[in-house]
Amino acid sequence: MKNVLFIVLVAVLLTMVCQPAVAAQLRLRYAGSIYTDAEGGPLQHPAGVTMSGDRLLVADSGAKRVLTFKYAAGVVTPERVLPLPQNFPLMVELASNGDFYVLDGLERQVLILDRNGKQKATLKVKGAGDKRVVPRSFKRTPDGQWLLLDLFSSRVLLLDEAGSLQRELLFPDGEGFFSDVAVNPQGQLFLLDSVGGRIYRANKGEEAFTLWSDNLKDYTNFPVSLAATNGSLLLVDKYGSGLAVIGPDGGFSGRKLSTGWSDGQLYYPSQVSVGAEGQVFIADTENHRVQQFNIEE
Amino acid sequence: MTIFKHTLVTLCLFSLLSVVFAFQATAADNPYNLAPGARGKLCLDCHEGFKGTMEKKFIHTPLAEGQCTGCHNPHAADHGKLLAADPTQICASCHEDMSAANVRSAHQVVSDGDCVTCHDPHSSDNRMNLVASGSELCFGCHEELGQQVASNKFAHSPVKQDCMTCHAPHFSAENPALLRSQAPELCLDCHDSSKKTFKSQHVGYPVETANCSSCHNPHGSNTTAMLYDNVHQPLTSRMCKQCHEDPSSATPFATVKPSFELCQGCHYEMVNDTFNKDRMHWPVVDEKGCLNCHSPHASSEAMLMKAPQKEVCSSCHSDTIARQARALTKHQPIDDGECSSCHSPHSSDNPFILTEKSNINLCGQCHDWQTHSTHPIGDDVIDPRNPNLSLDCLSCHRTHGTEYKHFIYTETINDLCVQCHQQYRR
Repeated sequence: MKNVLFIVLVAVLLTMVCQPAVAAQLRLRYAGSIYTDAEGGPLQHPAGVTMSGDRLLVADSGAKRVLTFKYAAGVVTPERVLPLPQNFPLMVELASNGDFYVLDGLERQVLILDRNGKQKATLKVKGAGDKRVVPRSFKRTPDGQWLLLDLFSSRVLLLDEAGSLQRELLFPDGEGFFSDVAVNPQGQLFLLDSVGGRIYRANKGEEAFTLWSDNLKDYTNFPVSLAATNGSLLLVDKYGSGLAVIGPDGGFSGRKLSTGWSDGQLYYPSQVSVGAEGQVFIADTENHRVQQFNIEE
Repeated sequence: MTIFKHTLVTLCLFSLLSVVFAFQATAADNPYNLAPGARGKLCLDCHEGFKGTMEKKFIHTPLAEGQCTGCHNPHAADHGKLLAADPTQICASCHEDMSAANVRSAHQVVSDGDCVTCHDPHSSDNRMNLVASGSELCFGCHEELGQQVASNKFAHSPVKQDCMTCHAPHFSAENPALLRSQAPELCLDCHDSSKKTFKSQHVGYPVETANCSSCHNPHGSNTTAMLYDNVHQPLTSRMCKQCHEDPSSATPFATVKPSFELCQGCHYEMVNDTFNKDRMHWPVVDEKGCLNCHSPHASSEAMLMKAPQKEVCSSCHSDTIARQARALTKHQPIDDGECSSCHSPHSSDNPFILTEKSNINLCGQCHDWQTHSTHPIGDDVIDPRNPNLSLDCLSCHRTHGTEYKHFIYTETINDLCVQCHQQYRR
């Protein structure tokens, strides 16, 4: 009995010790850059990138289009160009039925495009009262819901695939500016305050955010995007042209990458997305490219 | 017998301890073991100039008691004027309650321990040994405010007399700006809100529960009723209902529409123009909307900005302003607080919400680049570091500053040049 207790104790201690260590040891290895579409047309100020299954989606904002790529065995192959000349795509996500959901910065709404890129609707939030919705960011959760950051009404909405409200979480009190939301495989929601340098978290089923990570201004200039890896969060520091790694305990555990124009460097990046195999894609906006790194732990 | 012995021993011990404590107290009172009558008088025998000092109305207690050694070491010291301790800390050794931790606001000179900015450590004709009396003392440092107060057409009388009517000199535990209390409580100490004229002047709105300094400049102004110098038109014409609910409603100060939707009613051209641009400055469309940067009622700043532009921008972009502050070369528009020289604060079709699509054209509005460099730049000059980039001013310079000269990204110009001209790398 004593031996069993001892083993359990050792296992718990080792887990506690190793968790931050894993975060601290997270390494990014440069894997390549996407500079063009299939026809050799250059990317222009891409603000959004999302890895969804074996597809890579890029909101090529300056060129007013969405690009799709196929990802297989570490190779990214250009697929399609979906022009949006009347819009300004900032983020893009893929729905389970193959539709593309695009955050349009010009009209400040989420467009729904069919498989061929034809706009068929806009995302209407149902059941959230008559308050105006101004989306600043949105993500698709692992269980197929939509997570929407509504700037105008200071809230985060969790919607089902049809846009019906499932859960509403108000922004935490206090000064700040909320730029992005993320969800991890465990269903925990994260909300980024760019100005205050804070990340708030809500566990699955919780109705409010609580402060999870503070004092990030000491390590970042102006973080704008976050994405969950296996245990950590990656934070895009736009004005600091780099990434910050936030460990499982909410503590800062390192900076990755730095300012520059050459491959492997960043110049005012906007969004980060993490694939199931640990691929990290970064919309390297003012370098007019998307960069791929692989996580090595 | 035993009881007698114990009592005797106790009394002896008590007497012994009394002698020890008395000796210690004497030593603390007279650390230099000065002869009787030598205190103070001894110092003044040489420091004749102090005769005038001693004739002033208020004399610092240690000096009045002849205890010059309370602050000075007569032999040698590590600090100027033979002060016995660090001049920023010596006052606190007696006046320990003049500063406190975790207060809402603190006077900078108090935090710095620079008490002699306001107090004469020896004597003064002003109470509290102040070096000047009333507002005159404050305006010695707050010069610009003093000039403004002096030139105001509509003055707030307490400001001319004594700033201390509203402000605490050292710190305020709970209030900003060293205020003794906050509006409206502070204002209602003097202003009677039950007067009929008070009600009619405020169009029936219960402003006695609101923040008076949202409209009125507490330091006086050049606008009637001491409103800030730039007044929002509906307020000038007392059309509060244009934006707010009726004064008789349960929520009289609630706005009739939220965020930018309210402002759009009048400023539709500006709002429509803002919304027709690709890149939005996102605070414009959040819950506070326009009020993130503008005052809804009145302001000392043009365009009803809620503070000088640099201050407003830095409330979110503190990192950018800090970068400029530590930069070796300063960018003049940022120093001057003119962020909108380059950025369009509401929205823009251009990256970084710049006012121009080409940063070569934008920089060229102030800098004639060909006078300092003939390096090829422009849309047809591809950046060797990145095939999707062409060379422009930002290829080498960071406009908000770097830790190196001329806003360049590297310590030396050579380091910068060899990023592209790699054949010259050493």
